Amino acid sequence: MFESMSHNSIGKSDVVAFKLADQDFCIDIGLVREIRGWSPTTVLPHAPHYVKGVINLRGSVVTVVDLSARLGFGATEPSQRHVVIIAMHERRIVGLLADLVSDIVTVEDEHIQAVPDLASDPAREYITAMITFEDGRILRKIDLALLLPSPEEGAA
Amino acid sequence: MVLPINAVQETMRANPSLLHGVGQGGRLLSNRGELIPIIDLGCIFGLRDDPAPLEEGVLVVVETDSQKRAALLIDGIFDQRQVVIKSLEENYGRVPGVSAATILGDGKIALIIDPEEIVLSSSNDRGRTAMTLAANG
Repeated sequence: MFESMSHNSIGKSDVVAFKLADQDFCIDIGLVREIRGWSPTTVLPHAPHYVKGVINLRGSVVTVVDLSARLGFGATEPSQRHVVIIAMHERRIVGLLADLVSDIVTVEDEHIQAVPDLASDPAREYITAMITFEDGRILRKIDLALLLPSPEEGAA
Repeated sequence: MVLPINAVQETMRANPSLLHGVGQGGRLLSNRGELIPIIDLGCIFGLRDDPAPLEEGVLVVVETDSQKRAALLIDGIFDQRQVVIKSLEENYGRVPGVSAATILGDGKIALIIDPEEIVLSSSNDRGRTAMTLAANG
């Protein structure tokens, strides 16, 4: 389950933490290419509701996914203060719209827990692990593969 | 949005004497002795629900490879330019009615319209249903 994390040394790995609707989420740092401010997108016709559109990232056409809408918190009204996390997944580049990036955290494997059984919640489907901290904070780790529109879905 | 110029036959303002309504929503343009359907691109792409009034837009008469002609209703024309084609499928997937994307001089992305697909899909209701179905996955 945790093999996909990029370990910096034995038993430790780094994640990028960000906020969405006042909850802390994170993704594996190995997937993140860069973090940039929000810029207006070109809307795609017939796209799923959580796809904000495409942006020009140094000549590449990159899809921006509204994480808040994807996780069931409702659509984001993006402003200058929002951030887009550019991530690479299976050779596809994707932008993830989040409220703010808070930190890069080193996580010890022993603090990673499986997700407790919750009632069916859209967010639950995309969270693969919970990371607890001694001060009581928790990070929800998101699985990019589950989150993104599949090429077939885009083709549809 | 960008339309390949090799598909474009002419552009015009809607002249009321050349326009004909058919049934509830159908609109035809009489052009070069032929009646051709008017397709509101805004509706096709789901950007607006109701067809735009013809007087405010511009009509672009296109001919597809399969010799079908149609008039596309758009809001306005900027200019004519050469573009570099960027793949949409690489990072996203296929969009019905759109063949690819391009990057404009100001860095914005424009979508390149596939007139063939637009005309074929709106030429019959079956095509339209298929397109809607496809769009909804």
